[in-house]
Amino acid sequence: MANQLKTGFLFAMFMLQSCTYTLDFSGFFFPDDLVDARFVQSNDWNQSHPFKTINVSSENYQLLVAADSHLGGTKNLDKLIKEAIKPENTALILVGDNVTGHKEDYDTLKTHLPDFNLKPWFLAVGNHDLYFEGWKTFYPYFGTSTYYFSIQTPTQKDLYIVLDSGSGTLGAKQLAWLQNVLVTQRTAYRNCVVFSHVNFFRNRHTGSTNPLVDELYVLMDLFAKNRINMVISGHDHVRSINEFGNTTYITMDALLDGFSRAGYLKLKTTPLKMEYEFNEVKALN
Amino acid sequence: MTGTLLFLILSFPANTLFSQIWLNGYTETGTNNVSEGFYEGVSGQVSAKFHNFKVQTGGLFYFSNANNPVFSAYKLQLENIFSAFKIPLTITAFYLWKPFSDDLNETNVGALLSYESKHFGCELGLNTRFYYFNQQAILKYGFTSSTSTSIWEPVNAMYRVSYYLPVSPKTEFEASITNFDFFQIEQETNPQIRLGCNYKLNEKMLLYGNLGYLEAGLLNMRVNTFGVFLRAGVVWQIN
Repeated sequence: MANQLKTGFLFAMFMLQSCTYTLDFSGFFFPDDLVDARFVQSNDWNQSHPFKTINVSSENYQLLVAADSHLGGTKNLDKLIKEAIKPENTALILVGDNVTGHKEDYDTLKTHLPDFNLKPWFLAVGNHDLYFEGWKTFYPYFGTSTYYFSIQTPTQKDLYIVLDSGSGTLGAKQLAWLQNVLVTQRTAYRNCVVFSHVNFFRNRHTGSTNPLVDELYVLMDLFAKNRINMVISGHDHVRSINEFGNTTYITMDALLDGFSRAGYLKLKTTPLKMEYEFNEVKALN
Repeated sequence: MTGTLLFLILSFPANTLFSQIWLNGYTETGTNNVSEGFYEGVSGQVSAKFHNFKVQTGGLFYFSNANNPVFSAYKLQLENIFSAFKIPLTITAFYLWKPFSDDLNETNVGALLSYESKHFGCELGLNTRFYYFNQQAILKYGFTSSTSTSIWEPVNAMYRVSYYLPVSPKTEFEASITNFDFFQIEQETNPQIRLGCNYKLNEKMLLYGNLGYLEAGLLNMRVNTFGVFLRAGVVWQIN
């Protein structure tokens, strides 16, 4: 009996220690950052760092998209980066929960990402990226968490918008920014894709938190009226697809090391259409 | 459809059938991340009791700077009051329709089981939710029969836990944690906190007030304020 109690106690301590390394319980009560404050900082960054345009020489191009790598472990991320730097891929997008929030994991991410000039990459912020004062590392390392980039083919231009949904809401300021971008710029682009770490819909019973229903109303309406092609998310770790009018809402499998279906998305654009394809990391060398 | 239902309800010889009829009206003001300043809500509901059954229906009018339809919700619910193991319980089935933009609607159907005592109230239930384009939007966007125009969220848990503190024969305070309200059902991971006060003006009339706090990102462990509201209402038993 004493041995069982001792084993149980040690197991509980191990689990607690594991959880307290990866989960920041202070965020239940007093998070050290708020989405409106992050947006103000991001907007400041955007003023001095113009939004990027990537020029491609063909009408066909391909992006790789993944989410929820939760570094520490870099096994799957390294495989993905090795794939991403191949010439057929134009850029890599990591849609949040890229790290645990600890500075050492941000250091690991920074050293493993390719040279931006060799292969452009773009990051979104997820809730785990914000744990343990993670924003204080994200911002000086990577800058803005709300921005857009575009891809210019010989004849067309596509718009990619990256949102900060790490707090489970966009906040009033970021929402106003998004509405302004879509109203003033959407018509200048052929396709438009939105990246948001937090997924919108609950296809299954899950503990992960989505934006409140009132916010979903506004976003669904905005995306329908502006003919957004895709909204790509992570967060839930399990893939799902919701076709809704002209918009496809995609939640990706996690890239996390040890996850049985760890995967990424190929986003292929041709003159006629934009397509997605789920891929498992274990198929990569 | 809503107009027909309202006509039927209003033209029905209610006094002859129902033993008790109540009117419930409230006004609400608040602000949240999507309301673009303060919003104002006005609701009217009517409920009637027949033996152990109670039917309730009503709507919500919503005014804000954001581009919302003014008539923003309609609800119909049927309650049955019964006892199980000498515990008084109420089972409720409901239908909630929300035209939340000029193109999009939401429909919820669900059921709740509730228990109330002097100091404690509890409701548990399930709902299923549909978001969908209305017929005008389907034509406007030129969707074909192969286009998916709805999203179904199969199961969502609904809950309310309340503590009541009577401070006089006429007055009680109330504190609740819940994920739903008269005309809103949040995901089970988005609870809200409500504080309230109920004042029994006389045998026929109850005045109530609520202060609500909504937060985002709770189970993401990144809590941010989403919004607050203040509500004042009256329940009047008219027979």
